[in-house]
Amino acid sequence: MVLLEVCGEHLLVATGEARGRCPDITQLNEAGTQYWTILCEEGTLKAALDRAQKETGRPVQALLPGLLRYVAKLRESGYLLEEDA
Amino acid sequence: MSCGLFSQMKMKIEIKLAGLPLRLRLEHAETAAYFEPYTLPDADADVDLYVTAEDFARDGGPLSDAPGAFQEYSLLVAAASRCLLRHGRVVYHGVAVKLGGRAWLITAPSGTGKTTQYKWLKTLYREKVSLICGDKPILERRGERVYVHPSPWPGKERFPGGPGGALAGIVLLEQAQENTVSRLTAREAVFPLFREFLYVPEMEEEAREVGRMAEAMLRLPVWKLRNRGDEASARLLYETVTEYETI
Repeated sequence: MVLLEVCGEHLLVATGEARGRCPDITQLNEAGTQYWTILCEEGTLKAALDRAQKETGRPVQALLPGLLRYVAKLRESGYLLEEDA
Repeated sequence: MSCGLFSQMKMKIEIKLAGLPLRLRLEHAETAAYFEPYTLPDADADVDLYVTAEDFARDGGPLSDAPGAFQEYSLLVAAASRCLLRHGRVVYHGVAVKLGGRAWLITAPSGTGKTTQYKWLKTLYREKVSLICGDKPILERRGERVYVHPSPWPGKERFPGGPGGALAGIVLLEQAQENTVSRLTAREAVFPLFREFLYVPEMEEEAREVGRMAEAMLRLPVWKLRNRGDEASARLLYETVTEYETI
């Protein structure tokens, strides 16, 4: 998956083997872009949550529901191949 | 350099697409006829263009009843973009026209009414409207500017195309009960504009080059024309894009 920034907007583009497993192109809003970047860079939900907490200053309890919903959407759309605890 | 896996081909011709010399290798000699206006003997091309087995496996299904030459011609669109993207060019889905002397793209998913709009524009404004390409023009990015070129894929009506030029703007079409026009923000335009690039992103760099092309396009005005596909909608389109130029 390639995250593109085009005129301040963000698109996820499926390339190579990812094509056919998830949407070819998805437009992300600001929160979606932030979560995607954090999840890709951190690799686990726990690490992503810790980083989101540091970057936003918001408590983990406030961030967790949104992040879990986001991960569920990724799974539904075919973007998520495996999950770590 | 070859674009894809090399295989034994029955015919080779040299062509130029959007100013780029290419060595077109064909399985079917009849396919050459589609590229005749683009043939350039001794073009000194060092880039090979041909349909690979992967192209056929991925996209050949819907074409399986068509003659072999037509299949090859159709599959060459994605193969062409694969070559062209390494040189800042790509095939795009839309009608490319000159309106009042400036190049515009009219784009939308198939069946929305792009050709209908072009026919109305030509009927109403005659010599003030000229066609660059009726279906799949080639876009070229030169720095922050985009240029539109004719291509060997003019669409099923095969209207003859003419010289291209610097892109002045884009019109996104949508079918509606009433004719209205609105200027789109980058946020509103980026997805519908991006999905009309005709390429298969096998590699990250291909997607990034298309992103750079889209960025250059979004610096230009993007209008959404919601329309009934009638004479009034074509007048609205023409008046909008030509009046904008005088502001």
